[in-house]
Order: sequence, then structure tokens, then C-alpha cells
Amino acid sequence: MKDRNLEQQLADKLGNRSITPSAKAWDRIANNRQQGKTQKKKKKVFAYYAAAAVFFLLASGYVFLMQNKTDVIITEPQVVDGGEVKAPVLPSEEAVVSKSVEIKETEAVAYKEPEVLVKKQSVEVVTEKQEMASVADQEIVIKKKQPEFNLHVEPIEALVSIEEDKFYEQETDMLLKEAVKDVAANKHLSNTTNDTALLKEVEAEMDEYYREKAMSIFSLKHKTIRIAVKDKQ
Amino acid sequence: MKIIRLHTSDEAVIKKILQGDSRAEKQLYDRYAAKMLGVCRMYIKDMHYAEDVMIEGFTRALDNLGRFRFEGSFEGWLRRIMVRESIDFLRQRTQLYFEDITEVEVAPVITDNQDMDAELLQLLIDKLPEGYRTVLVMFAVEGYGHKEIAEMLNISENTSKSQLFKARKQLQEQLGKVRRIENER
Repeated sequence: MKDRNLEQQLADKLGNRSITPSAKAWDRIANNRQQGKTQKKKKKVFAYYAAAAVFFLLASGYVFLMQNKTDVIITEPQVVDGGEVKAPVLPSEEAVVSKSVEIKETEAVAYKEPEVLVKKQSVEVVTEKQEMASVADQEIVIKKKQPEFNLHVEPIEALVSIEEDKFYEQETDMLLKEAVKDVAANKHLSNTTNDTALLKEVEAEMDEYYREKAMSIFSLKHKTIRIAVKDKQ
Repeated sequence: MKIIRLHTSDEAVIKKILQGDSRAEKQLYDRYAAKMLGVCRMYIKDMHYAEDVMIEGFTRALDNLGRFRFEGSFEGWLRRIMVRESIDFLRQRTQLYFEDITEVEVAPVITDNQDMDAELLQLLIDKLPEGYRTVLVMFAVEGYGHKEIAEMLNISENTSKSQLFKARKQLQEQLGKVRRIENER
């Protein structure tokens, strides 16, 4: 017999050696497999629950965002620009989300009547106050005349969904313009101004504004919760 | 005349298992369990632990049977799983320790005219430290190269070579002892 490399013997004899496992070995493998399957099922169920939870969160977030948008009703035209009557002033085209404003032809015709009136008023302003000639060319906002205006114009109700902040910015701009015109018309020039009093007045107005805003949000939330509770019952 | 097939190919059995046939799982187990226990036993001295490792390895193989691509032999694929399981077991028990030495070449151990039986060979390699034994078995029995051994054991190629060198040296010493005992008789 030739000399044999020990490593070759290892490969030949140990490499192909078979050792019979104990009788319970297969039962243990089957048991392991069964446990693995149940764990996989549990993982699947957990994954479904997780997906459902994520979906619920996203849906509730979407509903919450939608509820923050409020509907604003504009009942009358507010701005007269150089004798022209504009349609109800919307904050911006982007702000209109849910519904578009449709103005019927009859309503559009009804605007033409106050156009004449306003023109007359603007002419009166110009004749009475000659020094205001330069200002008269600019935009004139006449808010005080609006009640008369409403007598001729059929009230237009347009349900527009807008963002509140933009609406109030527009309103602020409009009030500023009105103040400029008043100053130009020397309406308040005779009054002496008191800085502190003015500041207090503005602060009071702002407080009131924010209080109203907060109350409107609270009432809206309250309403939503009530509806939700009612639906649940 | 009806022909009864006595031996089903591995591929057919695996396909049955993938279709959910649990009897085919048992069939595959009966075919390879003993061989795979032999593989695990080469790395792990304790027979009970070796069987535990074989069971874990078989469970893993059955769980991942869908990944077997039928490109090589199923036995080879299963064997690799068993080797990896054995190495993981030794690592977990922190029995796998490798030390670097400078000498890296030593001639294979020659056993004169002796044709040693499997039990004696097993006894010889059982006496080697875990690190030496693992590299020796991977190199001599499984046929892995040093690069592959280094990757699987997360060691350098030189460490793998030095472990083999030490293993051979110790085997030589043990064989010398065996010869002396036989001569005394």
C-alpha cells in the first residue's frame, strides 16, 4: 500500500461520512418550520395593521386640513374704481378652491345702473374740491355710499371658499386706500391726532379681530366634533 | 407494465416541497440528514451540538429552498449551509480563535502505510484547537481555497495559511504519538 496523505484520507473518509441523527431530529425540524410559518403570519398581520394605521393618519390629516378652510359669503360689491363698478372683489384667483363664481347676465346688467351714480358722485367730489384734482385721477374708494348702491344692485351671493388670511389682507388694503382718500378729502385734517389714543384704538381693534377669529375657529371645531359624535352614535 | 420509480431526483423533490408537500420535506431530510450531520460533526466535537447545528441548518435550507437555482448540486448547496451554520455556532460560543504566525508553508502529513479509519481520523482532528480544525477541514475536506476561507471566517489569507500550518504540525505530532503507542504494542 502506498503512503497516503493524511489530508486525502480526511477528505475521503470524513468527507463522505454519514452519522444517523436521533429519532427526534425530524420532529424538531418540523416544529421549527411550523414556528417559522406562524411568525411569518404574525409579521404579515402586523404589516397590514401598520399600513392601515398609516392610511388612517393620512386620511385624518387630510380631513383636518380640509376643515381649516372656511366658506365666505360675499354679498355686495365693495370697490368702485374711477367710476367703474367691479364685480365682487375676490381675494385672488388662487384662493378660489371649491366653487367658481358665476354671475348671471341679469346681475351683470344690474351693475350698470350704479355705475352712473358713482360717476356722478366722483364728479361732485372733483368740483367741490379743486385741489383734489390730482387725486381724483387715482382710484377712489367710496364705502359710505354702499348702502345706496345696494338699492340698485341686486344682492349677489357668491359662495366662495377662500383662505381667511388673504381675505383680510385685501380688506386691510381697501381700508388703507379709503383712509388715503379721506385724508386727501381733508375730512380728518382738522382733528388733532393723539398717537397713544390711536395706538390703543388699533390694539383694541386687533384684539377684537383675533378674538372673533378664535371664536369662529372654536365654533367650527365644536360643530365638527358634534357631527362626528353624532355619526358615531 | 407499470414502472414504479424508486428514486426521485432532488429537483423533483424540491419542486414538490415548493408546492407545499410536507412529505417531500421528510424525503429530502431522509436523503441528506446523516451526511450533513457528518459534516457538522467534523467542525463540532460534541455530537449533541453537532446535531443541533444540523437541525438549524436543515430548517434554514428548507425555509430558503426557493433561492436554490438548480445551477449546482443540491448536496453542495446544503453542505455550504451546514459549514456556515457550524462556523456561526463556534463563533457564538467564542470557540473560534485564530492566531497569526510567520511560517506559512509545511508539507502535508504523510501517514506511512497506514489506512486509518474514520473514527481515528475524527479523534485526531478533535484534538486540534477549534481554529486549526476549522481551517484544516475547510481546506482539506471541503476543498475551499485560502481566499474563500478568509472571507468566510472573516480573517486574512495569511491567518488562514498559518492556521493550516499549525494544524498540520500538530497532526504530525499526534501521529508520531500514535505510531509510538502502536510500536510499543
